[in-house]
Amino acid sequence: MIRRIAVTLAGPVVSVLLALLVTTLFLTFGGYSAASAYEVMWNYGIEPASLVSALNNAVPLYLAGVAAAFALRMGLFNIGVDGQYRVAALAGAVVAANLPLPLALRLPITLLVCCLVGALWALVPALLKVYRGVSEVITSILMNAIATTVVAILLADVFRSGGGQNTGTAIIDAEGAMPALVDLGIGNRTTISGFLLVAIAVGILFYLIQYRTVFGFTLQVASKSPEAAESAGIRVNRRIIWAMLGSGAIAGLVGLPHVLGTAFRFDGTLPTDLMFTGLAAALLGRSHPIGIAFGAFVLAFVERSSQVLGLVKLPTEVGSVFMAVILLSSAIGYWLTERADQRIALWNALRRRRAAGRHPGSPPPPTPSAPGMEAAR
Amino acid sequence: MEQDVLVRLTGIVKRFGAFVANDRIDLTVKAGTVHAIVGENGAGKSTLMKILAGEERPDEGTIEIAGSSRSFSSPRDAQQAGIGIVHQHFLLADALRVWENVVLADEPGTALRLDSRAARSRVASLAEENDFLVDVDALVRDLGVGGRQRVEILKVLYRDARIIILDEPTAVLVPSEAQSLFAAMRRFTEAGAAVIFISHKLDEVLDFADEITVIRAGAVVGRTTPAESSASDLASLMVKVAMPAVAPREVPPGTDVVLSATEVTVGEPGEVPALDGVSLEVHSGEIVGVAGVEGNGQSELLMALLGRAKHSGAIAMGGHDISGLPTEERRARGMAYIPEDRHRDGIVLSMALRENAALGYHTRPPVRRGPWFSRSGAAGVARAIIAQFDVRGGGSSTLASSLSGGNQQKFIVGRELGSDPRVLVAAHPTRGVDIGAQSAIWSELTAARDRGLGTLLISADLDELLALSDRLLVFYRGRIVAELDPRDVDAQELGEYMTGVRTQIGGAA
Repeated sequence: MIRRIAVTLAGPVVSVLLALLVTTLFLTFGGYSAASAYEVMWNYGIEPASLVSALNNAVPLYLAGVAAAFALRMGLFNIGVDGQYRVAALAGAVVAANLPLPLALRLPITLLVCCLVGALWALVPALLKVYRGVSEVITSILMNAIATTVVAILLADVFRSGGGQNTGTAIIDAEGAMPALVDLGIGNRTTISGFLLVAIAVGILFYLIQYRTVFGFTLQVASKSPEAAESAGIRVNRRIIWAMLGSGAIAGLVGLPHVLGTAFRFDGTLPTDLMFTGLAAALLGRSHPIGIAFGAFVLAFVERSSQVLGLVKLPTEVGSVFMAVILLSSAIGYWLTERADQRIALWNALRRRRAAGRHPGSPPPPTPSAPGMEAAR
Repeated sequence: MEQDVLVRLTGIVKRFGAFVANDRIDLTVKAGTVHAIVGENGAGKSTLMKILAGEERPDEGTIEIAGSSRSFSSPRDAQQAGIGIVHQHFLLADALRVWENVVLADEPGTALRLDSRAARSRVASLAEENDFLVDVDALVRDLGVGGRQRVEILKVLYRDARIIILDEPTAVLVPSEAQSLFAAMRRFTEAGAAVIFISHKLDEVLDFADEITVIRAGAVVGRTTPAESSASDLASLMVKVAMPAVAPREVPPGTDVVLSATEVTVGEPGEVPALDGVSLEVHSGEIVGVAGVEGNGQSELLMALLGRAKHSGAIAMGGHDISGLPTEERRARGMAYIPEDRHRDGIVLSMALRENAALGYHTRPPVRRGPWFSRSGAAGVARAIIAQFDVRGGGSSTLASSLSGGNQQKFIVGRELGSDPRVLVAAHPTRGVDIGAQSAIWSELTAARDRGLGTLLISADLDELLALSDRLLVFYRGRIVAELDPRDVDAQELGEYMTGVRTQIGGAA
């Protein structure tokens, strides 16, 4: 049990350490002092305003990570999160600005519409996979490109509010925007967005659906052994569709913190690369809702704290390098820890066999779950 | 004449763990002959051919090709020695053209440039010389099985093979295609090549082979020629079982039909149907055995009954038509299933026994509680199976992969019988398990039978079929060719039905 937990935690820790190592090399060979850079970053990062900002920025990363993980647990790579959230964000901005309802109704409806639009955008790759056998990786990437064009056309010709230089949808008033959860009031901009609650709710829902329901069980079986699933009466094709719909629905929420909390409309300032950072968070967190939260916060923290480097004449690219290495190393980290785990298991088994060989006739010791006990022999 | 001998295998031994697949096999194949190797499933025919084709290495024994001793470390070595093999399951690239498939890995031209004109014309002339009606420019995915097989044979001819191995070449062919294949085989031998073909269809073996080697349980049990032997001689050599007495049963079988199939056919349009108009009935408290050499429609029957294969005809459970129902519904109505291959669709190795206990039973309590998956409920089921069916090697949270094969199988049998089913569709329930587990599984199956369970038992183990069945259906080429009473059948008769030597007209139930 302890070994299980250690192995689970070792992956992300190894990834982060690898990322630190590469970033250190990058800084050192660039002629900078890595130690002082980290010191500056750390000091800036732990300022209250930075922490709050990192927390708020972690929310969309978390949503993107959970969206990716939802499909990942069914063995699908939803690389279309980007397109799904951009189309959904546009729909959400239009609904939030135009629905003549009070906040208590308008906000849930906006969230729901975004989920629906995101799910529909993800349905296309799912259907193509089921009926035409096309890999969802290819089609969902292509759907991203289609999303770019569709959003541009809709924005330019349908939803653009006003004329001239204005390139966004109508402004969302207070009755449509996401209210602040709490203003810590400790200095500048320390308001925590209400989307933190949305993210927590999504995380809990993800956990319940994936880990606790019969539906989640069928997804697991379908991804681990499609043949066994079919013989057990689990229709794999339907699981594929549901997994992509769920993933798309969560993805639909990714752009909303920006639309309903920062820009108050849909315009060109919507970040367009949340998916890959979110995917890194999902990989770091091993697709577990708490792990993804940890991953998303670490990534948002690094992103935020690296901004200060420009002020002390250090390359701000340190943050990007760090994140890129994390993305790569989260795969290597798992590989290393899995191998180490297997080595330990093998070693234990060998030692048991040798011990049994020395005392012929003695019963084999109980299960190898506690290495400490083995060492005590 | 000694120089006529193209292949001489001496004392070939191949072991897989404790299992001996080939036990000191000697085989001599002369140039210009068609040499048939016959034997039951698992007799070791394919292993022997793989050794000859360089795909497996023998543990002992020597291979001589045209008089010189060879040791193949790869299929490539065997190819260079003039050996070509056409597998039962074709290995072709669907998206490539016929000539591209043929030259693949031996393309004419330089390393950087494929001389496609030379390649294409070489393949086309090969096809023409051998009277192969195949369009060399067609995409392989557009070809039927007969055409694909011709492409496989062209691949072998293209590499100038003088020893051509065909592994059950006629299993997938319609009779007319088989005839033209045999005509082609004759042409190869006339040109001085040797053809080795594996079959358990004794009629074609007797019609087309020059020499016959019979293998049983990894050893050669007979060498003969068609002139010297009859189909029934061969059948009795191939199939030899000690006829165990069928345990007399105390509870008579019921009269109500729990499972019936009417004219069920499974097959791709334009191909020979793998299951061809099969009708059968299973009564409550009855075990109906299905005998047959593997690949004669048994797998398709399983998949059709389970609702995983498209089929025509009707399937009913307890009088209700279930033909249109998905697998989930069929299982919910009480169809239990023991799969042919436990690792493929019986258990999920990377899941705990708890989750495996829920497999197929996740739609009902105690596993399902509302929308929730009850871990404690599933663990309870797993513990009950482990206790009742004496599954050793772990508890409910142990991964299925850490159990031995026999215990995995006992767990599956326990799961399926413990669910209070009405019908059990079981395939090879004791395949690959030790004697102890086998007798445990047998007694569970008969106990369930006495409680009123109707069982359709598909097995390659004739001892098992004869010991357990109340009635025995014999499958050959996707049809039921005989219905036998296991209490008074002898091995030779059974062997003749299984190999198509004999058919019982109107034997179908």
